[in-house]
Amino acid sequence: MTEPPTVLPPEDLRPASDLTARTLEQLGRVLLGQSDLHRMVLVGILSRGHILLEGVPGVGKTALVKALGAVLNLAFGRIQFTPDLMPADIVGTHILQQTDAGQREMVFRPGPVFTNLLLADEINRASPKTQSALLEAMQERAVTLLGKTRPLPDPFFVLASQNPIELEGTYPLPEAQLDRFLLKLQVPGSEADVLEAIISTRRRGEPPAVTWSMSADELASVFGVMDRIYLPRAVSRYVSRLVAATHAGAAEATPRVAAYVSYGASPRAAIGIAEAARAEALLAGRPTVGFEDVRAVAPAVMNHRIILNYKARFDGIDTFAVIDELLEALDEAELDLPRDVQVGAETDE
Amino acid sequence: MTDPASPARAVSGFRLRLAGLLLLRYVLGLVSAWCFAWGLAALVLCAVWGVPSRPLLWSLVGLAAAVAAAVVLAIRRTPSRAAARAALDRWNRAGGLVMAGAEVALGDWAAAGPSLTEPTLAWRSRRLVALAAAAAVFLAFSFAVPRRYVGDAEARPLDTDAEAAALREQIETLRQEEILREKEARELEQALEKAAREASAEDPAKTWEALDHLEETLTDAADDAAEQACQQTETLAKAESLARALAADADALDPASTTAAMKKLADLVEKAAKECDMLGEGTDRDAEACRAGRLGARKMLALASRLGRSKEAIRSRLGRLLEARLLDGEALEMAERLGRCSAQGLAEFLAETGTGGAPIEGIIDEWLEAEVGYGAGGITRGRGDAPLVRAPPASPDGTRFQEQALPPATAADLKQSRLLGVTAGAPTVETAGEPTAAGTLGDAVRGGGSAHSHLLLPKHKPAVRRYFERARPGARPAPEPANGESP
Repeated sequence: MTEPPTVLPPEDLRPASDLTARTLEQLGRVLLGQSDLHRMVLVGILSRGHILLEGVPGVGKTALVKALGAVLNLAFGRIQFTPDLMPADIVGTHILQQTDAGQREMVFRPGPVFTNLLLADEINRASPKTQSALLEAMQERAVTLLGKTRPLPDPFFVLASQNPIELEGTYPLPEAQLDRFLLKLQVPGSEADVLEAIISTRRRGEPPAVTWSMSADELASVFGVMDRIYLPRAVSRYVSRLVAATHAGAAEATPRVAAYVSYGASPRAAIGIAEAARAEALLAGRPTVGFEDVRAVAPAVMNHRIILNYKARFDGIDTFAVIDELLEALDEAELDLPRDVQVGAETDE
Repeated sequence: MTDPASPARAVSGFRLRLAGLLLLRYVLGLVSAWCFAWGLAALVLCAVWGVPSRPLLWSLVGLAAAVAAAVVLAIRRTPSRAAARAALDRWNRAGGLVMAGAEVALGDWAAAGPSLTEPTLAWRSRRLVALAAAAAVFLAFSFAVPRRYVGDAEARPLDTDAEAAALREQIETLRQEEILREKEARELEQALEKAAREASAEDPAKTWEALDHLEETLTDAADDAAEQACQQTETLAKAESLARALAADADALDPASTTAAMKKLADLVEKAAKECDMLGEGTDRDAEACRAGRLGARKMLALASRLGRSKEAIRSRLGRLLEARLLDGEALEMAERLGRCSAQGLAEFLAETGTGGAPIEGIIDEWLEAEVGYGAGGITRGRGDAPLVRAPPASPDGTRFQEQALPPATAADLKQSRLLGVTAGAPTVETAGEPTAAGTLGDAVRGGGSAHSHLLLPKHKPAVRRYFERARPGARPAPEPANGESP
């Protein structure tokens, strides 16, 4: 007789939750006033996903990634993408080298992708060919050169950044490649209080060094806990309905979806939401995923996976507006009640 | 969640409340729809087939069907336990623990969570309640509205109750007054019932024609009866007046006139007895006694009273016919006029005319006719346009003019005279050179006989009468004129 499955006990969850809380605390020390961004970045890391950061220069994208690498005690690499950057500059190349025996042979020289945490800065400035090389490595978590596949270090995360301005001479990432990123996060500017704190407390704006870092074992244990976060069927059903509703022809599609969406989110989006929701539940110190976790991560997971039509551009509608309407309209519990009957709403009569 | 059974209980309670709310909602909706549908059906059934509203009340069993359908719909629409549990999880911000509790063991988390509260339920019922109220009002209206406003004009019965009741009352009146025989009344009643029974708005003219025919039949019978009553009234009035006149002053007549008047009375009484069966027994005996001149004054008065009562009975009958609207007021007025005969006037007339020995049978008839129709005539009896009833003409026998020699001048003037007229009056001697009178009688010779060419004014009638009385043999001498001239 087998034991019935149980949710993660509190004593197993609490250490992992504490670790993540300390991680967020360290990130908050390094980069002021971006707690939501830190939380979502950590969600992406815990979900083992890649993250695309979009923001204007100077908002702290690079500093965030550096701090994250330091806190998580991961190897950190950075590639500044330029139009003349070649795939070999990323994945590495074979060079002819003389051995100690005097023979010459092709020796593989790993590129910067062979690291745990890679910052692909201004990824949209590289040519599609170079972008594809990185995106293939992101997907396969391995590099194949001359018929030989070399796995990338585990864990492997790519945090790419792109500048939404100065688009001349850039190569926007195609949708298929955008889909490889688990999250696309907007890096907002800082408010006046935050800027004042930066100026007054930091010489030349240099962030302080991290005071605590997570060991490899601790990180592994956190990933282990992540895998044990329970996803109830009602929540997985909600995630599925949410992703399905992003398609214009879906039964639960909202008016904005029907009007402005050309292509809805892929199944990978549903997988990404489920994983990200698990990470969100872990950060909240819960062993199960709730609807609120899904609602918290869904915009970041789906905003780059929904392709709008030209009409949306003319009307000034972006994907966040479409997703917000979806989250508002879709009943998580799927009670399927008449419109005039509402649960948990204020009565007007 | 201190109690492991708490989520299950909360889920059950929540579903129960939700099911109740949905049941109420569906009951209201379906009952409203039923009310509208059945109200409309009631109107259509009434309008097309003329179905009355009372049998349609059996359709209230449809309410039970609507409630049953609402129960089925509510049960089908009630969320599953999993959905209810998800709603509870969301409401209590349990982060998936409540949902996971139904799938996996929660372990220590079961005791760590908060106790569950059921979410509030909100129902925007204002529109549905208003709809239900409107449906109820419509249903009530559809059953309360008078059928005649809804039904087909051709199919609904014609309302002839008032007319039939009036005709029924008239038939009954005619039967009670014995104007209609029992068989005739029954046949008329049957015809009336048939017309009322077959009355329909599909062919109103047929019904109205039948009722009009019945009314005309009754009116004709009443008219005939009224005409007969007028005739009887006239005869009775004449007989009564004559009887009272003879009883009042029988000694004023000479024997011949008294005998003639009694015979005339006997004729009138017999005629009245023949026309009217209300005089009772003894009338024939009185008539015989009267004809023989043996009816005394007391019996005469009794006979007159009996005749008067019969006249009043006829008048009462006519009054009842008038009340039943079988007659108009003109008929009753005619009867009253025919029954109005002045015994005193007749007595005076007889006193004036029945003393000269002349036959007065015709005079009595003429007077009675004039009295019954217009009055006796003359300035003291009846209207001015009444015919003048004259006494028998005076006999010229034994009458001669006084011889008087005409003056020569006057005789010589005859050749040059012109005839103005012939008069029965005595010629007067006109002295020569005397001027003629002026005015309306300017052409007449003073004291001459040209007055006949002018209208005899009523105020001159006594003078004319006195003139002719003077010439009647055996009459009392006329008083001498004050100036000594012959009249």
